[in-house]
Parts: sequence; structure tokens; C-alpha cells
Amino acid sequence: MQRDTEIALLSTKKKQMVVGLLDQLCQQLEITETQYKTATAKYEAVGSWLAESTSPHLKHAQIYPQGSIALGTAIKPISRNEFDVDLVCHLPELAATSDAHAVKALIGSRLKEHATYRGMLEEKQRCWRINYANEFHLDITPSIGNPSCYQGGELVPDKALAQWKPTNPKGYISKFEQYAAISPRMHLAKVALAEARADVAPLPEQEMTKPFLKRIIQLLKRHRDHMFVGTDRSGMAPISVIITTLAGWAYARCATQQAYMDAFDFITAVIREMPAFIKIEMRSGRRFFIIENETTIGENFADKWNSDARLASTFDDWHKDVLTSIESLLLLEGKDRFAESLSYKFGANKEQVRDTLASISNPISNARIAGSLIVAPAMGLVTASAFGSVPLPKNTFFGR
Amino acid sequence: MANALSPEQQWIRLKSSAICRGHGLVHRGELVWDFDVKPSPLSRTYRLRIRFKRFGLPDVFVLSPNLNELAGDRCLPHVYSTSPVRLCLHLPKSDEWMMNKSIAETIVPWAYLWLFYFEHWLATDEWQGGGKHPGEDDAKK
Repeated sequence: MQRDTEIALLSTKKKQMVVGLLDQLCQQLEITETQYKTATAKYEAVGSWLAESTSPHLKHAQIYPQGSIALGTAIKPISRNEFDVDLVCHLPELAATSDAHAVKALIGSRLKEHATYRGMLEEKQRCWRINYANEFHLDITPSIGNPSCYQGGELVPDKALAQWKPTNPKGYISKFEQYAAISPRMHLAKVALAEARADVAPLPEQEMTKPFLKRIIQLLKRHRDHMFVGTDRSGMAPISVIITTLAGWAYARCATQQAYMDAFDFITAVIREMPAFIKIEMRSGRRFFIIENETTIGENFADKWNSDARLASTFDDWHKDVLTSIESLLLLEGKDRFAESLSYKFGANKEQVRDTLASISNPISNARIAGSLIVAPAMGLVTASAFGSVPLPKNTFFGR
Repeated sequence: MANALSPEQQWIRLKSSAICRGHGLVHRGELVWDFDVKPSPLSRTYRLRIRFKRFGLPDVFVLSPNLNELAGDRCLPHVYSTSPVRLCLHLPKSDEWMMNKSIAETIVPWAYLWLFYFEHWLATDEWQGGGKHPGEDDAKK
């Protein structure tokens, strides 16, 4: 009985520590608060510059972030220094009959009037990019109102600037935040286990330092970046909005319909569930993929999958790999093996590995200095006393 | 020395401790104790052997896995020998270890600590356990 309890606690604790490692890794990969604030100040300044234009069309221009910066799921890119800040420049005054070329040009010419922006400006297919070298770039996509969207959606130019297509950045963000706010349910088994034996100290809860959904998405995106960057399939990597949308739906289903033993089981269940939300219809004998933007009508995030069948199978490959990469972490033994896995599967560099592992070793080293370090049966070094545990007397490692 | 613990007395303490479950015996005045150590839930399980003779210093060997293989082309930190792997766990001629102390309450927890930092070193090349090298002032007190 004693050993059974120990094995159960050990496995629970191991899963908790693996979740902690993944959380720490994501913290290393995030853009810093300072970077975020700098980027925000810069795009707000761009917004003011546009609104101060003499053009009546720009007078009520609003600039706001969309995508990962707005969702709190941004991570640093692997192969370059600059991160993307995706922005919408919404021009509420303009009718859906406006020419997309002209609207984009209107924003471009106002930006060119600015002495600083002029030198940093780069024209992209659908947007204007302002490059802040080695920091970030602001991608500014024009948008106008979509009178036929009852959810307050917008219209943005398509790739060819030939016509407007529906989207809903604000609606998407608020739906996503609703999902992220759902708390997953965990069984009380491990608490009961701890309480059943008064001499087994309850485990300290090691939660993720950010809503689970956002962390899961950061992890998925990082694995994606690492798997595809610099390969001949780099152009086929699953796009962030697909990963984010499927993860959001899978998260909401898992969090509301089932209870899990622990955070690790929950996270893997969410990832496993993602493909179930890809709708597949048969159209003229071929598979037609649909991943709908539920906050507007007529935006299919999987649009490109229907013109290039390799994209769907690349998604499958990636999804299998990321799920296995995370599930198989539990089979690893040795902190060095975890470190290897973080670099092979998530592209963590030496510094990121070191800082991630520090989250495990620092509390132990601090407790050692404070004289409160303990060895507990099965668990090894811990900072809280347990049945049969032995305090660690001071020592000095000797030898070369 | 007064109150020095005999190999038999150390054996009883090792056998009754919950952090070094294993097996061993005292034969011709020498204690041999084999046991498994998992320094943290993310760690490997290491098989260790302690050898101890009356009035001697306890020796701690890592029987498996082979730490040299894990280390690759790097030299193991804080060991007396690498084949077999014998750990340096405390400062000689200090009061960290004395003959009246229980191996199960000193040497064994230090072995956990050594292995904990060993895995960290394997991953990062940094030894975070501190310590002294021969030649440095080893008479701490």
C-alpha cells in the first residue's frame, strides 16, 4: 500500500513537472513585456498619424492588433529577430463598393508622408509593413465595415486586391478569450490520495503561468516553427490561425465535457481532439476542407487546403508529430533527456534549456542553502516534508 | 573515536531507512549496501553501492547506468575515480562526515544531491552543486 501510494504520487508529480517544464519553455519563447509595450506605442503612433491626415476617409481610422499579439499567443520567431505585429487599419467610413487597391494606396501614401515611416516602409501583397530592424515589424492591413455580417465583422482585401473578403478580427479575439477563460476540470483523486494518508504531504500545485489554452497554442506553434523552418516544406507549415482555431474548439470541448486526472492529461487530450474539428465535405468527388471562422460568414481558414492537397496531409504529419512529442515526454528518464527533447522537438537553444531547467534546480539549491532540503522516499529531493523523509545535512562536494 | 558506529550499526540504519531501500550485508568487517536512487521524478534510477569498514570513510560507487557513457567526451565532475565511478560527497577532514554519523542520514542524501546536479550538468555543462577541488583550502573550519 505504501509503495502503491508512492508510485501514484511519483507519476502525478512527474506529469506536473513536465507541464512545469513546458510552461517554463514557453516563458522563454514569449516576447517580453517591454517588447510588447514598445510595439504597442509604435502602432498607436501610426494610428494617430493616419487619423491626423487631411483625407476624410482616414479621419476615423482605427488601428488595432489582430492575430497572436492580440490573442496573447505570440512567440519569438526561430530564424529571425523581428516578430510580427499584425494590425488592422479599420476605415469605417468606406463602403463595401470601394476599390481595394485605392484603399490600400490611400494608407500607403499617408504613411509615406511621414519622414521616418517612409524609410521603413515595405509594400506587401495585402498590407503595408513598417520595419523596426531587429525588433519587430508592423503589418497594417486595411479593412472596411461588412454590412452583411450580423456579428460586426469587417472586410479585408484578398491576396490579389481584386475584391473584399469577410473576416472579423475583434469578434475572433473575443470568442477566443471566452474559450480561454473556461477552467478545465480535474478529478479530485490526487487530493483524496494525499488526504487518505495524513503523512503524505499534498503536492504543491504547479499551474501554468498563463491560461492553458494560450500556453498550449504557443507550444504547438513553436513545435510547428521548429519542424518546418528551413526545410523544403516551410511554405506548407500549418498556419497559426488554423492551429489556434482548432485548439480553441478542442479546448472548449475537453474543458466542458470531461474531467481529467491532471493538467498533462488535459493538454494531451486537447491536442488529440484538434483534427476532429476539421469539417470535410465531398464536393464533386473530392474532399473539401472547412475550418470556419465562426464569428463571420464566408471565411474558411482551410481555403488553401482545397487547392493544394498537400497542406492537409502536412497538417496531419505535424499533428501526429507534436502529439507524440508531448506524450512521449512521460517516458523519458533523466533531466538531460528532457533537455534534449526540448531542443530536438521544440528548438530550444542552450540558453533556453538552461533557463527552463533552472526552474527545477533553483528551488532545490535555495532549499539546500536554507537548510530545508529533504529526501523523500520515491520522490527524491523535495522541499516539503513527507513520511519517511530525511533532512539533508550540509555538505561540500569534493574532488576534481 | 567515541561513539563510532560499527558497520553492523550502519547496516541497521541503512536497512530501516525509507530512502535507500536495497540489500546488503556485513562480511568480514566490511559493509556493502546496494540501493536505487531516483533523485527527482524526472530523473533516472541509479544503482549505487556503499562500502564501509570500521574507522574508514564510506565509499559510494555508481554501478549503473555507466555515467562515463552518459557524459560522452566530458570528464565527470566531483568524483574520486571514474572506473568505477566513485563519488566525492563531502569535504575530507571536516565535520561533515564523522564516524558517529549515520551513513543513511548523510552519505545517502548527499548521493541524491550529487545525482540531481549530475543530470543538470549533463544537460547544461554547469555544475550547480558547488564544492571544492583538491588543492583549494579544504580545511573549512
